[in-house]
This record gives sequence, C-alpha cells and structure tokens, in this order.
Amino acid sequence: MIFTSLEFLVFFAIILLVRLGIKNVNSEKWFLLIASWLFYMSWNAPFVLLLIAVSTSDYFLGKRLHDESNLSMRKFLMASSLFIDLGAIGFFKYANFLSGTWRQTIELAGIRSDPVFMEIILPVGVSFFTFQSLSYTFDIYRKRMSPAASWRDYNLFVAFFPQLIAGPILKAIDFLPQLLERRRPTAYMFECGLAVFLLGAVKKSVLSDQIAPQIDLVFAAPLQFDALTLLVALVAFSAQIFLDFSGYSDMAIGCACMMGFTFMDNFRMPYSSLSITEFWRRWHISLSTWLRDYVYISFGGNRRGTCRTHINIMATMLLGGLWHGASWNFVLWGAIHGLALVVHKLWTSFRKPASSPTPRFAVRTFFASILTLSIVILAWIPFRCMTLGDSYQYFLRLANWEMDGVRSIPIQLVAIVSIVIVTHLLWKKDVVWYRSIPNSGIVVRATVYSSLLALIVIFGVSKAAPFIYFQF
Amino acid sequence: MNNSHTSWKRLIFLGAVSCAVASVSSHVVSLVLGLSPPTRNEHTFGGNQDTSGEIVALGSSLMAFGIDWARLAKTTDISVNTRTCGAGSPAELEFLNAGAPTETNTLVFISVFEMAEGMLSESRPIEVPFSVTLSDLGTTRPSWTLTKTLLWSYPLQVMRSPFPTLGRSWEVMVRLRDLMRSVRAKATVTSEDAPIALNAGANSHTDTLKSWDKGRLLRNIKQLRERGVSESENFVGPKFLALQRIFTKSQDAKLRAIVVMPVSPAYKSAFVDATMASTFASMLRIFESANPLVIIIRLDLAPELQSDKYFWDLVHLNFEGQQLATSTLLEELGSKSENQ
Repeated sequence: MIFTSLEFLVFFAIILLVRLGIKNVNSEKWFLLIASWLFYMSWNAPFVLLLIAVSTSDYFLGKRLHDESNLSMRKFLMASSLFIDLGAIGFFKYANFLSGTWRQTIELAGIRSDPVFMEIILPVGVSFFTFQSLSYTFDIYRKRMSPAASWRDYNLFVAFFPQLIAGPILKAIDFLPQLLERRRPTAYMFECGLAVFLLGAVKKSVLSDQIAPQIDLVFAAPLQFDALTLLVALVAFSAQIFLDFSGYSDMAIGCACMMGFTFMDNFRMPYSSLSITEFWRRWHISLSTWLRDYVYISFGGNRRGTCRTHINIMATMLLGGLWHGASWNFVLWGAIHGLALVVHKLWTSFRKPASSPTPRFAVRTFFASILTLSIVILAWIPFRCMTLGDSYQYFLRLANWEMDGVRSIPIQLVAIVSIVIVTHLLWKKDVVWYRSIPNSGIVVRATVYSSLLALIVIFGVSKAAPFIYFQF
Repeated sequence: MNNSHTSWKRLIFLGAVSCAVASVSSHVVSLVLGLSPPTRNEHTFGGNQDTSGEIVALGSSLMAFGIDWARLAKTTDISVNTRTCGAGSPAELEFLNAGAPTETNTLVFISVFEMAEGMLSESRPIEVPFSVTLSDLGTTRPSWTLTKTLLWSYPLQVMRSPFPTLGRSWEVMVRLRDLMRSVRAKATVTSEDAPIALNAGANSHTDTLKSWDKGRLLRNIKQLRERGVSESENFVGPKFLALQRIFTKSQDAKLRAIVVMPVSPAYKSAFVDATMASTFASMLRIFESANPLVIIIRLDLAPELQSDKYFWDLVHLNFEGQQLATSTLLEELGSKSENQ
C-alpha cells in the first residue's frame, strides 16, 4: 500500500473515521496496532511475525535491562538485543552478501569453493524497524528512559504504520510518551498534516514518478548513453531520490500529524547545504541522528582524540552506507561521505568560518555550496549503479566526456530538475513550510492547497512506483 | 500545536474550495488538451451508412489504424461496421459486440500487444461489468498487483467524473508536449507517442518508426513497460478468459475470423520472447481446433509487414503499412473463405 495509491487513501480514511468512534484509549491503541499490522501484511503477510518477534524480544529485554543493576548482566542483555536485531537484519539482508564476500576472499587465497546463494526475500522496512527497536534498548541501557508501559504500546511504537516501511526512524524516547495520553489532532494540526501530506504526494507522484522511468533507463545500461545524458541522468537522480524519499517522509509526517502524533522532520532542503557536515544535518535526519547517537557515540565519538574521531566518523559512515544495502556500492558511497566529513572537519579546524556578509563571504558561500553539491551528486553514482564495475564505467564515461552513445534527455527531466534547483535556491532552508502555511490567510491557503491538489489530479502518475527507500 | 487561523469549519470550507478548484482545473486542462473520456467508437463503411453493416469488426486502435476499411468495403462490396476502443483487448471487445444484429458476421482483431494482461484499456471499467471482472479474477487468480489494478480501475473511473485527468498523466504530458510544439511551430505537429483518436480508416501517418532515434525508441519501450506491458503473466489472465469466451460463443455471435494484427519488430524484440510467441501461437491453435468454423488470420506473421518502416510507433501501422495489411487481409479472407 503505497501512500499515493487509492487503496491507502481508503485505508487511511477508514482509520480516521473508526478512530473518531473509539472512546477508550486502550481500545484505540489496539485498533492502531492491528491496523498497522494489517498495513504491513499488505506487503508480505508472513513477515509480520518477524516484526512482532523483534518487537517482543526488545520489549522484554528492555524490561529486564531496566530492572537489572549488575553491569555484566546489563551488557549481556544489551548484547542479546543487538544480536537479535542485527541477526534479523543480517540474515535477511546480508546473508548472501556475506557468503559471496567470504567466497571471494578465500578464492583470493587459492581455495576453490562452490557459490552458495540462498533464496531469501527481504522483509520490507526491516532496516527501519530493527534500528527503531534498537534505539529503545540502547536508551534503556544508557538509563535515558524507562521501559514502555505495555507490550502493546511498544509494538505500536515499532509498527506504527505511517513510519513502518521507510521511516522517519523514530526514537522510543520521543514517541512512547505520545502514547501515554489520548491523541486527538486540533484543526490546526490536522491542516498541517494535510498540507505536508499533499506536498509529499506532489513530490512523489507528480515529480519523482514522472522522471523515474527515464532515469531507470539510463542507469540500467549506462554504457550505451553519451556523457551528456549520463550527466543529466545523474543530476536527475539526485533530484529524484530527494523528491522520492522526502516525499515519503512528508506523507508519513502528514499522516501522523492528522492523527495527532508528532514525528521529527527528516529533510530540510539538503541540497542548499554549504558543507557535507551540514548536508548530513539536513538529509535523512532520523538516520543521521540515529547513527550519531547509537554508533558514533558508542565508538567513542570525539572524546578520544582527533585521529580516533576521524576513524569513528569513517566507521560510522561505512556502516551507514552498508545499512542502505548489501553491496560494496553502498560501502563506497558511505566511504565517500565519510572521507568528505573527515576532510571538512580538518578544514574547519584550520580555518575559522566567516560570518559577515561581505562579498568575499558570498563567493566562499557560493563555492562551498557548489563543492558540497558536486560531492553529493558524484557519490550518487555508486549508490544508484548496480555494481562497482558499472559505477566505475559510469564515472569514466563522464570524466572522459565520451559523446559516442545514445542521447536521451526528455524535456520533463530538465523541467523537474530545474524545479528542484530553483526551490532550493529560493526557499529559506530553515522555514518548515507545512507549519507556516496554515498560519497564512485563507486566500493564500486555499490557493496553495488547490494548486497542490490540482497538480496531483492533473500530473500525478497513477501507477505509483515503489519508493526507492523501500528496498532498504 | 494550536492556531487561531484554523477551525474545523474553516478547514472543511478550505477542503471543499480546494476540491472544487482542482476539479475545474482538471476539466479545463482536459478541454484545452483535448483529452476525451474513454469511449467506444463506431463507424460504418460501405453500403447504407445508417445500417449497422453486414460485418462487425471489433478491435483497438491497432485495427483502426491498421486496416483501410473504406477500401475493404469498396473492394468486397460489403458494408462494415467497426467498433473500437483504445487498447481494446478481448475483455472489452466481448462487450463491444453487444447490440449487434444477430445476422451480422463478426471479425475480432487482437494482437500480442493488447493481450498483455498488465496493459489495461481505459475503457475497461466502462465496458466490462464489475461482476464479470470479479468472476474472471476468481477464475484466473492473477497476481495481486494485477488484481488490485483491475479492481481499482472501477472507483478510478467514478472519480474521473469530477477529475477527468486523474490517472492520465501520461496522456496529459504527451498532449502538453504537442501543444508546446505546435505553439512553437505555429502548426499542428504529431507527437512522438501521442494518444490517438480512433477514426477507423483514416490513417494519415506517413512517418515511420525506422526514423526514430535510439533514445526515443528506448524511452517509448520503457514507457510501455511502465504502463504494464511485460513478458510475464500473459495468456493466463482475464483477457485470455475473455478470448476463450469469444470463441466459445462464436456461433451465437457469428464469429467468422480472428485477425491477429502485427506489431513492430522493435516491439517484438523488446517484449515478445520465443516462449511468449510460442505460447501465443499454441493458444490460437487450441482455439482454432476447438472451433474449426472460425478462421484465424495471422497478419502478424505476414512477411511483408516485418519491418519498422511500416509502423509510425511501436504498435501502430502507418499509411503504407495499412495499405499492405489491408491487401493481405483481403487476400487471406478470400482464400480462407474459399477453403471453408
């Protein structure tokens, strides 16, 4: 059930209506939990058991962790939670990757082995819900929070349908308190939710899905296209992944808001960033904060000297890359970002940031923005290509500006990329759009909502493509 | 979160205004771009134009563009009533024939393109009753994705009353490109992949698929894939079942021939692999042996039509192709009828 599909709209309308009629808070939570499981089952019914198993084990481990005072036992319980959650994600997502890598490694040592490939179906959203569940045991282990009030509440936190498939990755410490009382949206909250949902639908259905087939075409066989087409497709993919993923996040935030819940923002105009560090404060914020809080800090963060800090950054980004998929391409993508973060950290330790609006500052800002964007865009090559070989060939054709190939640059690709660029240039990057519009006058609001709705009914793609991040 | 600007009453008012404006915009865009609602088209060639014709020909745009009906009617001195709907497959054709006089003979035109189960005609929810769709889905049990697409096409059709452009972004984009081109050139230009008006017999396309650049060809193939054409799930779903019914009821409907329209070699190399071609052929053979009175004419195998130069897009014959196909059809009809 993709958010932009008719079936989801019907499903969501039923949820809102039935919820209105439920007076008891406990019944309401049961209702939301069952609805969330049904939502998950619409993707792949048997895997709901995995979801429940992961949640249940972490719920009881969390409870034991909270009651336990013996440090060794606490460490053991925390390790058990890590083992179960990472074991689940490891088996379903990385088993074939690890066995393939192992085979290649021992073959390097001259030992022959038969390839082992297991037919494993990847449960949708497994990376998201395992990480979300892990945040709970981590926070209890660090004594930052108390256990969930009940098994039902904890399961609802992990399975809550707006964020279940592709985030934002909620933290138990932020969401569980919202389940302690009955949540009812105010009219303002509902309007905020509706506004951000509409915006997300436009990003996904009108913009991202419109250019997706053209980009898929180029990345499926990059060698047959000329360098200009490859460049346009790469920039277009940068726009597409932003529109697709931030569109999904917007719709998730919108759904939650319409039900009276609050999620963290996941994107804040990331391509306006002036440094790679700033980019990671604006791109997939829920994952970057998760990695910071539970990986980077667990490794020691910046508390153990400069060299160790840089190693920790690299390790965190490599793991962050691997989180996206079982492929060396994602590791390379993480490595590029990790390296860029380290270089930026070194650069800022040597140079003081300019703050006054002088012409020199403007020039520096401009170049910083271009440099950041270039790194981010180039790093999308391994992210989007199928193999490392494809990534290399793609980069090589671009670098050599090889013009012997098919030219395929449809006008809508250029138009939609331009829309993304212009929006990033014009929009104040720290203004949260969906909270500011409902504060405007009724004419402005009517104009904005009518325009968004009109865009959807006129240009919205009916056969919604799955969100890119569903595969992760 | 709270704010004095918003109350539930005001929100409902805002919602109603937004829906009304979006609806008006959708109607205006549909009007400006000339997006007609999916309807069946009926034309009579030869004989008395007011009569329903001695032959009823049922098909899709492939038939409408592929056969010169005026020439056929003139040559045979038989009046022909053509009934077409965009991307019409046996599922829709089965119901297009409703209301035809029982004394008329019927020709049904199919192709490997429309038989692709994932490729849905926009006329489907209008032509095919929901109960038939439900029963066909129950019998054939296709994939969940196809089942959902088929079932949702009915509420989508209802929602197209207030929002005629809903779910038709592909057509909107193509028409928009056309409009921009014609404004720029101050003349009407035919789009590279325009949705087409089904004026049976009136094929003014002289351009050829052969002149397309590789990029355009690849984009169009990709576009068809996005619209549901694929190598899988063919000849097993509701369309197959409908074709089976057409054969079963052939005597009641006076079905005389099934004509398989050609598709371009470029289309075949992208979507029709050897397995699919042989499944299609064996399906036709089974139907033919069960109903020996119905002749099957394979224009898709005619050697003279195996070139991209006779198509103006991936599946539609151009003027030259139409004339060739019409001649071949006349020959085949003549020789096979004599044999029978």
